[in-house]
Amino acid sequence: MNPGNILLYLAFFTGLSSVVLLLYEQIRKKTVAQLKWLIRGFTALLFVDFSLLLYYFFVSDVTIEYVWSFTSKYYPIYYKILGALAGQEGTLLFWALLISIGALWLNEGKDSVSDFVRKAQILVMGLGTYFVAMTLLDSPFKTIYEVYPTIQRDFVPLDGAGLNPLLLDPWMATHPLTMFIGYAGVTVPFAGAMVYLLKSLRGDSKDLHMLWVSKASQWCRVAWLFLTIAIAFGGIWSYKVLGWGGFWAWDPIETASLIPWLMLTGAMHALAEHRRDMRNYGILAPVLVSLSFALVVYATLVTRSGVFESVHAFVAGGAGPYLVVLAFLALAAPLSLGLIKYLRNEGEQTRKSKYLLNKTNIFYLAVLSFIALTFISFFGVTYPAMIKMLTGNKYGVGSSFFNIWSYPFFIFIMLLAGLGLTFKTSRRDEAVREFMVFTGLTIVAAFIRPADGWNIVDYSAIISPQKPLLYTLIGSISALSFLPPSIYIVYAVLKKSGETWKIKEKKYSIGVLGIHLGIVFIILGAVSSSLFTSELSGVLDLEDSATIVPATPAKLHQMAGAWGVHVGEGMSSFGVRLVDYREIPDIKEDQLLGMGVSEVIQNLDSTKEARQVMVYGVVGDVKTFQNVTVFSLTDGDKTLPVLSSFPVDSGDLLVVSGYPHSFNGDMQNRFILAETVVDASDALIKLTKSAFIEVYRGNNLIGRGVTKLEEYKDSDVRRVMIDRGVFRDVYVIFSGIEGDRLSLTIKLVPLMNILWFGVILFVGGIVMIIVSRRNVRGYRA
Amino acid sequence: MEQRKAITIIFLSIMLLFVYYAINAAPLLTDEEYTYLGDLKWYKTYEQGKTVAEETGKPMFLYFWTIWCPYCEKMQTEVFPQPEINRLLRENFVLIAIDMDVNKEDAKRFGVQYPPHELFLTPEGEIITRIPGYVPADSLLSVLRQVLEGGSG
Repeated sequence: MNPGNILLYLAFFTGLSSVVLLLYEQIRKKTVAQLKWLIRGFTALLFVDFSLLLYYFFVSDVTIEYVWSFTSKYYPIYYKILGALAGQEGTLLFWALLISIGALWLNEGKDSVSDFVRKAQILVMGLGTYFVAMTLLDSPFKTIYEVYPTIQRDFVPLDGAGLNPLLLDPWMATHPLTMFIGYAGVTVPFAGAMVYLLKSLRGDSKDLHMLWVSKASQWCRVAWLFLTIAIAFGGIWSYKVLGWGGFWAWDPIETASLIPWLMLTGAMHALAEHRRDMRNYGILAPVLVSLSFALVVYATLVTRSGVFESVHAFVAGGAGPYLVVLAFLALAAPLSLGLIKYLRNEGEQTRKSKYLLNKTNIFYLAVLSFIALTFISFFGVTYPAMIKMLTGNKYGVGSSFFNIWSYPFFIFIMLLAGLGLTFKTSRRDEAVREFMVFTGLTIVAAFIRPADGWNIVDYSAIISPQKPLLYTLIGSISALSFLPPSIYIVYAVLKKSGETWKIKEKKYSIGVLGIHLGIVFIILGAVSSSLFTSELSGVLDLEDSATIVPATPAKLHQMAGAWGVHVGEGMSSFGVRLVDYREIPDIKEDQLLGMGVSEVIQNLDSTKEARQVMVYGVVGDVKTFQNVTVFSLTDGDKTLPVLSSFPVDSGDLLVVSGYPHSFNGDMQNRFILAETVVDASDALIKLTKSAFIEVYRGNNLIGRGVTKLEEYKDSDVRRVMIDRGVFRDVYVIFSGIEGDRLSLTIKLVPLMNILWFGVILFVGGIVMIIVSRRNVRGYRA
Repeated sequence: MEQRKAITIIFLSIMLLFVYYAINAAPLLTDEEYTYLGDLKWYKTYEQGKTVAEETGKPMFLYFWTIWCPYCEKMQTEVFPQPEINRLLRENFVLIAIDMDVNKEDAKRFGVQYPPHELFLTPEGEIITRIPGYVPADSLLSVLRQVLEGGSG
């Protein structure tokens, strides 16, 4: 058996015995000293086990089936390591490791043997063991000989199957790593919240309240940090790599990662109020924190199960029923505990307020709106999948569904954010008046459309037999409606930062304000980039690098002018120029005989002898005259003409052997007369067609860069050119090549970088809150 | 407490209305026999379509799509429903929409890697022309006309 599996079994039994001993402690009401070491052992075993998996990827041990599936020897080291998290098996192991780190954290704290921590530990260790068990069911350490029994024992594959080339991107490499740290980070808060709910059924106490809040807060923040980063990286990847020109497409799996994020955001707002006063949200806060965990499990299920159809389908595995059971339990348990607690009327003993708008209610409305956003996304992902499973029929829930339903709630949350930040009980009237003013302005703005295309979703343009009235109505809301709430938040942040803060709260407040300011940038970037992107297309002659070719506007937005792009009379004045075009083969050279084209040319130049040469390269232009084929062989840098009696195709990788000849003894007109031509396309990793482009408006250069088309054996990948700017990105897609004509799609995406700046504010803000350690210190029992 | 109860009840009612409305408003894309995209009715497999094409002598139009592809959504909401395109497709072609998530064989048969992808075939199954990726309405219209003229002439 593979040592990885042995370690896994050991971890499983260590985990299981820890859980048994922890339960024994509860029954016998005494402490088992050995548990400390068992839990340490559990973490250590998983750590070594996961390191071993990384090692297998590091050395590309392709006799391990999981490694074989997700690696290739030609990957740079970074992508080799990424392979460990590319599939379900490795992910589950990683998750188990992260949970064990949570268990270790509880284990090493000063209060590790307190009743609260011990009970939480049962859950954490239980979950850790559960994940180890799931990993064991479908172990990443299986060898290819176990999976495919017909394979000879001494057979070693030359190379792994490799990842989908779309995934080979630094942002994508980091995406699953950060995502799963975020997912696993919710485990400890979940355990804390569940124990709090259980224990508080027997009566709430200040100690108990402080305990769970102190355990949950910091973990939630860290989880939120990583989830935010992961979602943002996924967005950057989709903007940069998929070539759809969008950072967000409401793909089921993209959306699945947003679902726990939204819930966690809501939960953290509830938690913030609960921290301030334990009588607030005594049920809501722990239930929402627990549900965040349930949704994290659900998101994993969506990502890895293959039930949900999406771009992510290329990493699907059969995780299935165990995750369903876990998600269901994590959903049902907190809900029923919360309900019991509510029915006993023990939780919500809020101070009575005669005003509808008090701080608790404002937070409550915000939390509910987050729940609504969560539910909309959850429904949009789940409903079509369920119907498909039940009946086999498909229903369309496209991006417009998510946009239409989410937008009003989102705007409402922004208004509440402004109110929440400015609200002071002593100056209630002032705050309420401001809220009314901004809400009024928002409603007015919703009706003002400066030009066509300002609708948040242009439903009138959607020619569909079915035009639900409500969708058309909400869709016709003007995008201008995001401005008043944005100004409100900016105003609130400025007002708040003008106040004097207690030194102790400084970092925390800066963090909170930073995050809320971040929303403004994110929505500004999101709205402008999705509504006001202009699109042009251009066809270029490969031979001509002198002319600026006019680009045809496919869709030019009126607002483009504001983003620094000239419109109106100058609409036709956009142009593109092809500065340079190359085809660069990426060849496994050690598998080929002979020399590369450049090397051969260098040799011929220096020796000037007509010795036989053997040269490999990719076929460029092909011309056939009766029985003779003339083609160019290239390595991307230099080209060598070849005369052959064998037919060849453009794009083939060939090994040609023959003698050099020249017309009239002129070395400039040298060519190879081929005697043998061998197709070596198997050694071609990819052929990159690379175009250096300049985009002009009139005579002004507005963007330049390289856009590429990478042709792999069984798929093509487009690497878009993005020339970033503060006000707009110039985004060029290599659409295709036919003969000697290259076609491009050019997009002018406004304010995209403003959105990324908003994400940076999110990240910076939560980091400030984490380092403020608010409600962490002094809460130790 | 009473206020909060009221807010909660209002909230829950909004969510219930949302579910009711969303379920009713979601368009049906496929059932057992057909696919419904862009105001058109499509066969689901090449085999189904081929039989009809042989009987009627109409050329086949194969459209490869998936539910998660944004450019497919664009084809279905902006290109196919255009009156002229819609009429030409409806009257003169045997329409086959291949869901690449479900019908992997047909995608493989025609070597299609990415959605969307459009393919014109003679009634006998020979490829007339193929368009990889999204096509704007004007381009598709001119291709449609070319294919039809080529067929009659």
